[in-house]
Amino acid sequence: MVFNDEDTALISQFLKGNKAAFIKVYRNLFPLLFEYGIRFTHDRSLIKDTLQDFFMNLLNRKSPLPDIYNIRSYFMVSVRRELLRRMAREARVPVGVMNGDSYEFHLELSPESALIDRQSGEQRSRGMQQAINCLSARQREAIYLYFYNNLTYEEVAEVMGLKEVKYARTLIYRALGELKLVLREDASILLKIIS
Amino acid sequence: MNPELPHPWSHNHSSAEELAADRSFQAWVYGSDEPACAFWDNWLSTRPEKAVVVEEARALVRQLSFREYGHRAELEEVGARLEHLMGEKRRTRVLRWGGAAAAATVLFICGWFVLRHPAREARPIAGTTGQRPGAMEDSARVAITSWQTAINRSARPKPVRLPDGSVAMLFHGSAIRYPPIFPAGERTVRIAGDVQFDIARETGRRFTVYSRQLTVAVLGTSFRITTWESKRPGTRVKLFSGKIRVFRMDGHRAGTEGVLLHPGEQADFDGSSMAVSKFIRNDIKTPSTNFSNTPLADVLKTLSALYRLPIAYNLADVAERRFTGNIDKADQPQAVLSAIAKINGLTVVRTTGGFYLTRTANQTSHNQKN
Repeated sequence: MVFNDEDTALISQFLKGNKAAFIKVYRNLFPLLFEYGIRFTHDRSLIKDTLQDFFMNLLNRKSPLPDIYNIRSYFMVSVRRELLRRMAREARVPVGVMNGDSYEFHLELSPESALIDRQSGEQRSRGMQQAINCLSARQREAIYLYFYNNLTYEEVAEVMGLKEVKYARTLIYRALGELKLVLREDASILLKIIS
Repeated sequence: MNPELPHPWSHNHSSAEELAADRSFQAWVYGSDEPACAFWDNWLSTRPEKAVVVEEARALVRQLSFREYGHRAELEEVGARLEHLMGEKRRTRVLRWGGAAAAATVLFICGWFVLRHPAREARPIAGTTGQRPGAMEDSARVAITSWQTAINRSARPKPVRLPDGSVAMLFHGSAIRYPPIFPAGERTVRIAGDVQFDIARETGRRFTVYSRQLTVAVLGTSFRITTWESKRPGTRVKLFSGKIRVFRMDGHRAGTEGVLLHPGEQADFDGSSMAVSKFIRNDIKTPSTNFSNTPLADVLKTLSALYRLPIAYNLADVAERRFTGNIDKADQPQAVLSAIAKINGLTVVRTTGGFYLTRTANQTSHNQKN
């Protein structure tokens, strides 16, 4: 991933007034944040507005960013919090409700994952998608952050507001444990090993 | 990378989920890291009893690739809105003419053109923040409607700062349209009327100016375009240094190569055909730029002819003054004039399409920083 060190340097540059650095940061981070946000809600306008305000606040910022070891997860935390807050406001529910296990997190396998393994391809993918849908939103989110964004366990815990890093690992292990059951129903793995 | 994870070399993995969550195991599945591959190949060969678990873990890793929802249109749209908001902030400051353009190339587009539908074109972005953003779903529409328009109806030239730091000086009755952020691959603007550009030099990103008849692609250069929209519309492009490519508006769309101009060449277009000819004659080259104790008035006259730019001055200011030196024609007119002016205690002032030299004493603050 191209984030972290490069972006930290770019951000300190644009806080000193370098506009080109801002545009680079924007182009690096927008895809990450948008793809993350759209998994909470399909309301693209809401995500656009949230991200616009987020970057505008960054632009207007006079003080340096807090001393954070990871710029990427810092950004994701901020956008996640703000997005959930706005969703709660639109749905007219207290913010806390959204922060619990009741938020939605859409996680769809890419169409290509059915093509990867021709032997069992489509059927297995369908089973896998069903299993993913049966996970809790928190598990789906953790899986997404860990496998799609390549975050570390610390970062997953930070982004999701978990009290301890080990909770992040537990979430991911539990989810993977559920998902592997789908594979067990599928005899092709055994066939593959035997042949 | 994963400081909280025991290193796989020392870890005896027991379950498929542990393996699947291991970064080095993932690298092995994707074949993306050679030491990891070597380790896991070896690990597997010494533990045949793990074959089923490894196969499960491998299937998990391969399955867990997720759909991307797509964000290109949103990236451009929010970028445009931000650029607009930044612009509003910046407009409250005074636009400086000169500083940012120091290392820039110069191009003129002059003409007589009556803006036909300025009202319809004006400020397409002004309502964007207030309007429901969901109204703009189609990315192509976003790209067009988010372009900004600047029009100058006043008599005074109006500078417009473009997203890349280039400056477009709009003269009376002229207009320019430009995107709030230039996309990664290109810088594109549209103009009508009489516009003078100072283009920020950027390697790898060409600057393209579209007028009604011709397109000019800038590859790093100094040149001048004149368009006229009278009874017989026509366009002339003169190149002083560097390289440019000139396209007919109709031919460009058809994908033709256009005409590549070399220094000293000009392209004339009368609406149907393009003619390329030399505008700097060789015979005036050597004697004209090597001055030896030449009266300053003569030097300025020569430069004016050389650059095809009006250079005005007050006779009393330059009387009795002389100049010795060799002028390199590849240099920018402004740089040359500034140097000459400095030696003689004069100041260079930009005028419409030309320059004016005046005594420094009464207006040092307007001195160009070249």
